[in-house]
Amino acid sequence: MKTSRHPASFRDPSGFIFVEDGVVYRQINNCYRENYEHLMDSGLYESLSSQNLIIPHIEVNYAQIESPEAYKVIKPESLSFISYPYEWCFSQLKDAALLTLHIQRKALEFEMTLKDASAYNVQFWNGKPVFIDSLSFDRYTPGSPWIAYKQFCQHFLAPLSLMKYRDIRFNQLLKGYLDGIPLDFASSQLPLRTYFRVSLYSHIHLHAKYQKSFADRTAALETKKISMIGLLGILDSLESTIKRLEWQIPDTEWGNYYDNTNYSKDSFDSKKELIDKYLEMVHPRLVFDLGANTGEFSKIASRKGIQTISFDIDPVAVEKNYQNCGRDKEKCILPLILDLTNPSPSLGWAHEERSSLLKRGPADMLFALALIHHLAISNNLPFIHIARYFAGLGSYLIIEFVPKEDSQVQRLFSTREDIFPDYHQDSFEKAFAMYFNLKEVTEIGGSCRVLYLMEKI
Amino acid sequence: MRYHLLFLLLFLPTNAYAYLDPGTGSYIIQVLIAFFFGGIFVLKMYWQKTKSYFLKFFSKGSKDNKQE
Repeated sequence: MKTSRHPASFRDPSGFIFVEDGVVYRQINNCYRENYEHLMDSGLYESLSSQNLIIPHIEVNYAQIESPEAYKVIKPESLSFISYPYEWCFSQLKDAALLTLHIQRKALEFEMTLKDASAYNVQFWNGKPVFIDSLSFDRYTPGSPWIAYKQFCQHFLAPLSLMKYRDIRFNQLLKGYLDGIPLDFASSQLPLRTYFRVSLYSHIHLHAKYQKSFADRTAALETKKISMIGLLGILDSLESTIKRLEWQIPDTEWGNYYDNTNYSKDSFDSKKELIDKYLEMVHPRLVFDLGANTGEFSKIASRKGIQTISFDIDPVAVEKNYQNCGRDKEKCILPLILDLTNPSPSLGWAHEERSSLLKRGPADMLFALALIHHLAISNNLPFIHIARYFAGLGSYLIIEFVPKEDSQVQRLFSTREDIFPDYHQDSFEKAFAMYFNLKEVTEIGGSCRVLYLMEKI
Repeated sequence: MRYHLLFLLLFLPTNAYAYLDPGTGSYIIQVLIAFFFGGIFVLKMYWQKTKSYFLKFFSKGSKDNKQE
């Protein structure tokens, strides 16, 4: 039996996450006992879990507890994949923000308060955001402020405002700032017009000024109280500000990809049928669809009940995918932003707080559809490098080879010289055969492309 | 004195530590804006109550008209 404490679970003395034989548990320490009992006995947990707003858990009799600090061990519902805010599209971050505020309001109804408002406390489960930290609830002391207000502004309001008012790619800044975007930085980047929005002026610009003014000063805080109405007013203002932040989806190269491909309807359908056939042969439980665009092929897997992580580099494609999933009530697709040429790295203390994509794998199966030419030609990656990385990321691979004659490849060569004499099917097969057994090879009818099913050696 | 302390420790509730630093500036700004946003919140609540009262009143009226 292998037990290990999760390396990211060290900040909160209330308890910690540990993993045993692949199952995630959470130890609750004695110092959190009173809060946990109130969470469970007051009806707050029941109220949140019945609406799938918090991850459900069961209490387990865990015989191995040796720590004198231990009070209880709980086993939360397991998640197939952990994603991070820098991989979310605009609406995912917005939905996570609104969930956090909703939970804080609900907690206050039951005389509790969220002691943190980290975006990392939210995950996506069955297509919707869910709060995963059952130890974030403290008893509310009348008159006290919201201790997590600063964290909420840094983790949610600042990035969403920057994405809306400046550039959608500002979410990538969350990779550099794991505790959210510093408010003085957000304030300096936001346009002048945000000073004329009372809520943004208060929660970001004025907030940043006060942080700076009191950075090296102390104040008698115990005399400064906030009424419940005041607290609800701040939460209401945050909620309506976030709700009003809308992002107009622009047209991009990838966002309308399926309208611009050279696939006829017949060859598109035969590609779908082949993918369906390969899925039936393997029966994977977790699929990574790399370069998924708006998730057209992810749906083939998800509709079989397979958890499918639908990655794409384009925030527009991911946004459309997420909105479509919401509209179609897709429960098994998780759309995420990922630049495969620079995948999410390991981050945080000792590189262990946030895991790299590779560490969060391997998936049972990878999809690499209409992707190889972008990696090999646009990014100059030799086939052998691609094959090696894919072998670490998944056990099976459905990969589409797109030959030089294909109009999409010709488009790439329209602005650059062809320096790829080895870009042909034989060398592709040779390179991938170093890491995979080639199980199936089928030409996609009506096109010059070939679809492979491969199994890792 | 030692016994007094022990007595206090036994009967004081065991609080979980506030592990997050709220930041002095963030604390003070909340105190300040709470008056403003609290006021708006109260007005909003009254406005919603008034609106729903009249909506109910008028919808009841139109239902009565339909029944007639």
